Amino acid sequence: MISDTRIKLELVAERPGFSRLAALEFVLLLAIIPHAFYLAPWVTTFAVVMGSWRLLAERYGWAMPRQWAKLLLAALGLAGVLYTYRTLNGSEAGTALLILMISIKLTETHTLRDSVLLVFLGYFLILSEFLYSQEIPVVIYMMFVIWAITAALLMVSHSYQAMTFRDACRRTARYLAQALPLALVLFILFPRLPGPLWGLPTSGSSAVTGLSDEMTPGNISNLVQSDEVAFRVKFEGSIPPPSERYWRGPVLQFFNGRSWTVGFSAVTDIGPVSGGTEILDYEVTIEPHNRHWMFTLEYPSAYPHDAALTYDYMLRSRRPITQRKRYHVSSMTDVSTGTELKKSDFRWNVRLPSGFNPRAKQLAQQWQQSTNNDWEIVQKALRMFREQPFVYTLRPPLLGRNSVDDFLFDTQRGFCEHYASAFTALMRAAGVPARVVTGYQGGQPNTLSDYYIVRQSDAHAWAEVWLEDRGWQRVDPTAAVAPSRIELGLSYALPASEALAFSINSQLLLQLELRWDSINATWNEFFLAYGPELQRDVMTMLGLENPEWENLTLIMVGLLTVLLGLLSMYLLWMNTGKPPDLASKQYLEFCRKLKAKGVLRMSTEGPLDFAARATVGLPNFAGDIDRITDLYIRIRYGGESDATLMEEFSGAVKHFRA
Amino acid sequence: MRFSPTGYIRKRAQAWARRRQGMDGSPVALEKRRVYILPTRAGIVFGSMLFAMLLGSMNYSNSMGFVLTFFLGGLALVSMHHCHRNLEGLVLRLGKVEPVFAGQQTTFLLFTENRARTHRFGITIHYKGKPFSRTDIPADGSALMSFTAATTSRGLFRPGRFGVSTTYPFGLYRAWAWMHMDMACLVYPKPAEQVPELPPAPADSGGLLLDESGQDDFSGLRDYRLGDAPRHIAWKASARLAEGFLVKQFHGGGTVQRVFDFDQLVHVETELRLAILCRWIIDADRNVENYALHLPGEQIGSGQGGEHRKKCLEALALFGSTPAQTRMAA
Repeated sequence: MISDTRIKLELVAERPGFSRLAALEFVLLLAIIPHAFYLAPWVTTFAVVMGSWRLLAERYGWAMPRQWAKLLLAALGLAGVLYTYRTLNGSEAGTALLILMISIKLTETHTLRDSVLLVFLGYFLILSEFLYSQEIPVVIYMMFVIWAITAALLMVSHSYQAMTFRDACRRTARYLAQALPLALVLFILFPRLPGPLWGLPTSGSSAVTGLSDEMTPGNISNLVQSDEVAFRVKFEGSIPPPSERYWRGPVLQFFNGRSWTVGFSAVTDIGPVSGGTEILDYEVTIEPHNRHWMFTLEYPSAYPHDAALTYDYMLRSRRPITQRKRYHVSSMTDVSTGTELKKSDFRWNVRLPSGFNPRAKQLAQQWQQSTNNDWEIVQKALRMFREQPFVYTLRPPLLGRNSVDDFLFDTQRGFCEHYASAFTALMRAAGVPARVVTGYQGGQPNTLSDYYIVRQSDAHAWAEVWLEDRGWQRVDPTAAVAPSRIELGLSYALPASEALAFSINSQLLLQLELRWDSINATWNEFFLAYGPELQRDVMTMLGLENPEWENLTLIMVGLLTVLLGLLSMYLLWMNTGKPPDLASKQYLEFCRKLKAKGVLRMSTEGPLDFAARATVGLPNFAGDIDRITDLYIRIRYGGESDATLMEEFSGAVKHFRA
Repeated sequence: MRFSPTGYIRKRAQAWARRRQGMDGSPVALEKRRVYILPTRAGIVFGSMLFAMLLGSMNYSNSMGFVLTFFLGGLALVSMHHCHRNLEGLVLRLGKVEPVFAGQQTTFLLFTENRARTHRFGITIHYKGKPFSRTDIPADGSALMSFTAATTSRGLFRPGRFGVSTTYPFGLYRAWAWMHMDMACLVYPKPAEQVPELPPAPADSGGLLLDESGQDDFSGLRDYRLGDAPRHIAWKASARLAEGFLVKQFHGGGTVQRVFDFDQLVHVETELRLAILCRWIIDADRNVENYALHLPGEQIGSGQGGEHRKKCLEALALFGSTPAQTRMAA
């Protein structure tokens, strides 16, 4: 039981040693692995090479590189990052630099303090992975990495005696478990500020997919190849049928003969619409797309205070949406946009570039002359799409300079953007104010938890025409060509040969995917989006009337104190010794009997020394003393605690008459 | 000496801690109120790291960033309590202190006992800012620890305070306690290297001067005692032992009786006289001779053997010191 530790310690120069170094490198590798998926391969290769070399050097006692060699390596790494990422400032370049720093630091890991620093750098590696992805599988994996790195910290700080990595993991698990409730309290109650504090770095290669403020033949058909989620919608109350789910986004009014653009962006808030009776309430959780627009059904009658409804009925967020955001909107489906069109708006919406698409213009002018009812002109155009052999396809042939003419009269194969573009151009040529609206149409219901998933593959473009007596009216020329696109969704409307890469045919897989998406939606909605607003909601829900940051801090400190108080009590209990066991009690009784005979046990004396002294003082009882001492040692220290031995011991003490 | 504010504060803090705790008995259990705790340098770096992570998480509104930061923050709070607990309640008991000759290192042994239900980790003894021994102690177990100090002059050496500390579990905090235990080491004078010849034995004893041939008269082996010359160690015989050394003993010619008298060493200052006497005692003891020691105010009659030698050396060590100091040595 007694260990002699009279060794001189040289704490400062303590080396980590092979096994500790191996464990440290192992946990750092665990933290590097998820970064390997998006970083340039040479960065991870560099780290692996340096790590292996360092381990071999430890094994075979090779010399560490000299200072100039390390500086050279660092300079090469820096140059490499600059060459690969063209910056040192982005998040990817930063992570690459962090990994290079760790790799080079490994070669000068001689002491305890160096190893501790490596562990701290490892924590930053974890943080930078979270900035990159917070998907559930990544988070689960990273939790294990946090555990492993913390265990490595325990191991390197406990360097004077061998502690296996496994042992360190076991103990760390206990400390982390005790830290968990504290972390929970801090997470929920720590006063949150609306970010960002200093701006977000631009991330070069990780562009966000989504709609743009321009529509050129080809953009949307490219976009719909992606099954990424654009937003999720939860309806409160009645749910509109699929054919009415037009999620309005940017409105394009400027046409240059080939592309449609927003032209100029207005930010003035025209205020919510009013006067309708059919109201839809819904909540949208939108994925970040780095633009201002927010998607709504027509037309919003209530929306968040940090958004504005522009004159073309697009809901515009005051700040670009760079984080996942949740907003609540009410829409009135039966309101009219009014029957007054400003002169300037009128001029804008009948404007066509001159010198383009002469055939289309000619056709439209024929229509215009045949009737003076604008709605009839619309019907004529739709009838043309329906009756002529137009094909709805993701792979339309290339169009020439006169893209509308080529499409209408030659190829007749196109995607929603072609139809919307051609239709709007025809209307304008016929003198009917018209514009293109982009957004999403439809959405996949997740019956498991009652919401709709709208993906990039639901991106859509349609048209809007101005009718004197009715105001702006939505017209979807695609519906005339491929009604199933509107009723059922894209994958039902495309020819079989053009099946989308991600479309799922198996019912079971579809179920699984929906289940997974609903878990993700909950995760996004309640955990990842937890910020100042959600914090306020939660506090209000818990009955806190005034969730100001002062109150939050007060409650947080109170709860932390209570939790730490509980921990202290537990630790106090750990520190109170066990009540003496039966063997010790009996032995004390034996000592008391000997004391009565004048042989007193010294407080420093072990049982054997005491017995030796007692037998000298009381030679007549030597046999009994030896026997009792032997039994005591066997029970107390030898681990032999069976009942018969204990009985024998108790009996011997009881019958001992000195 | 110039006045230094930090030095002054440190001194006052030490005096305060000393007054607050008083002198420690043996055994002593570390109470809660005397275990102090502060973050280590690594702990401060860790704290700064958490602050940076918090700012980063706020900037990017990154929920998992917050989770990581708060998890590690919680871990820091938990580890502070564990660090304190790791030391609190530890029992220290003084071990025996062997006398040394001036200039030698003295080792103070300490038995540390863990009466808790769980391990204590990384318990470190430090003295004058240097760590000396460090160990883990299992539940209900104990460990032998120590620290060493250099002695300079004869007398009773008191090491003053020493510390017991720990940085377990993660090295982020250091918990420590200052110990003022009643520990002292008896320091014999440093034996003189060049000595005059041993004083002649009184005529009535029929004794002889020690002749060189007497050294060759091997009479047996005995245990090594402090001060024995290495050339007298029986290396071969010692190698068979588990620990310690055996020393060859020589017969100088039977019943030599010597008197080592302080007053006979004239023209030499006191400390050197004591050093010479010390050397004579060691040599006479090695030669298994009878000798007496006469000091001003103390007479030790003729005798031989370990106990006698110890008594004589003790008298030399404490020569001239006050009775109060002497009482401590008893």
